Amino acid sequence: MSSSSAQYRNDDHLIDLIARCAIKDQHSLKQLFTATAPYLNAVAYRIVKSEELSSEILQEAFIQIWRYANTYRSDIARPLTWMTSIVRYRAIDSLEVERKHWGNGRLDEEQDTLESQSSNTDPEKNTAASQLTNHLFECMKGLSDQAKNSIQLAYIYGYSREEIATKLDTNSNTVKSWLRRGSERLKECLETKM
Amino acid sequence: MSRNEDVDYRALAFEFVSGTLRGVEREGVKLELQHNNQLQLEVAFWEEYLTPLQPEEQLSVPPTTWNEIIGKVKTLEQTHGTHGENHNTSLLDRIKFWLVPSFASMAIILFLFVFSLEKQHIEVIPDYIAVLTNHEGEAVLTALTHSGNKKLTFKWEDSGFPSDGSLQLWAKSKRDGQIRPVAVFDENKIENLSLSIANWRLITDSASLILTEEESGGSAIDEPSDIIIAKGICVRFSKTNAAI
Repeated sequence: MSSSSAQYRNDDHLIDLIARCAIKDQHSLKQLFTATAPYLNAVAYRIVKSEELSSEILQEAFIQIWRYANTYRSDIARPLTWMTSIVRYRAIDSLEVERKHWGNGRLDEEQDTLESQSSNTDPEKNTAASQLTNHLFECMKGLSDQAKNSIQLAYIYGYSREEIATKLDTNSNTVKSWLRRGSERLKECLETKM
Repeated sequence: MSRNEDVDYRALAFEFVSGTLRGVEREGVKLELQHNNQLQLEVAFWEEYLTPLQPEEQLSVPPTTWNEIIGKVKTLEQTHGTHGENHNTSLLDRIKFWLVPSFASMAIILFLFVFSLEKQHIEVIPDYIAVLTNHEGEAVLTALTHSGNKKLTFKWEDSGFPSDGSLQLWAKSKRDGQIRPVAVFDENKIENLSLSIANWRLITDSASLILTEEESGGSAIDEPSDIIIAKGICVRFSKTNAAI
């Protein structure tokens, strides 16, 4: 991992850069971009499936980060959480405007990614994972496969309820029920670990 | 708050963060988040705990992306200045700027505003409503007359009050395009304003309402300043029986 990409996991460094953006330090915005853009670009791309669109979303997100850096609170969210949320919400909003249809090959690729994600997230293998990450994946293990897959398809790939229903061969009311029960069990589990 | 309401906020926050909440529901939650502390906490919880689901893979960024960003940042800094007012755009751009977010947010804000009035057991049949939004399309003030009463009801969103001045509300006439004063807000964000017959006619005739920052006590020359805090078009919902 390069030094610039390692910096995107350095909370203190990112908090400092965001604080400097709040006082309109454009050099710090550049550093923030260098440290986090490749990660955030991937976040956007997984939802919108277009490099052109993910680049546009990244631009809009960094303008929003610049404008609202003074509202960021490190006691409420880690810096990458804050930035990832901005990018994801922009990407989801763009889906309302431009929705693309994927062929079966693309869906298979996403299924493969889901499988590899579940094997990579075994906390016993990932000794460098944060405590928060460990808690999440431990609690995800307690969910049904349908709930787990629904959550990942929605959160990582921006699937709507209807798209999840199509993907998992069910109806959107069932998906809503999986998501609701999954979120309740997940939160109950996470709260025991906090 | 009942346990059912707690569960609803949790589920709502989860679906908002995960992205499965779309369309008007999603827009409604965005507005609700501006003032609902519990919903804010639930959303913050899920944002923090779901972020680790993101794979570690990165995607290289096109070389022009940074240039685009810094270009827009520089334009933002140059044109918005200290008052947030863009003086360089055409009149058409400014009209479009105000109209689009006004229309986009009006239905949702109206629903939330009327719902809050009905929760206070105030029977509401809206007559006229204006949602005044700022440059970023965020609601600042909703003004509404209802049930034929000669009274303006206000809902203020969180925004600062000038430390050494006043806010003043103006109505722009549909008939002659003239802008006339309606009310001055000195220190308090009043929630109800009884209207004189003249001001009632002003409201029923208005095409839009404008909120400006003025010197203390309001404009000395009965004309709005250049410091426009928010504006919004007036929409008539129903005919009233009130005599004009």
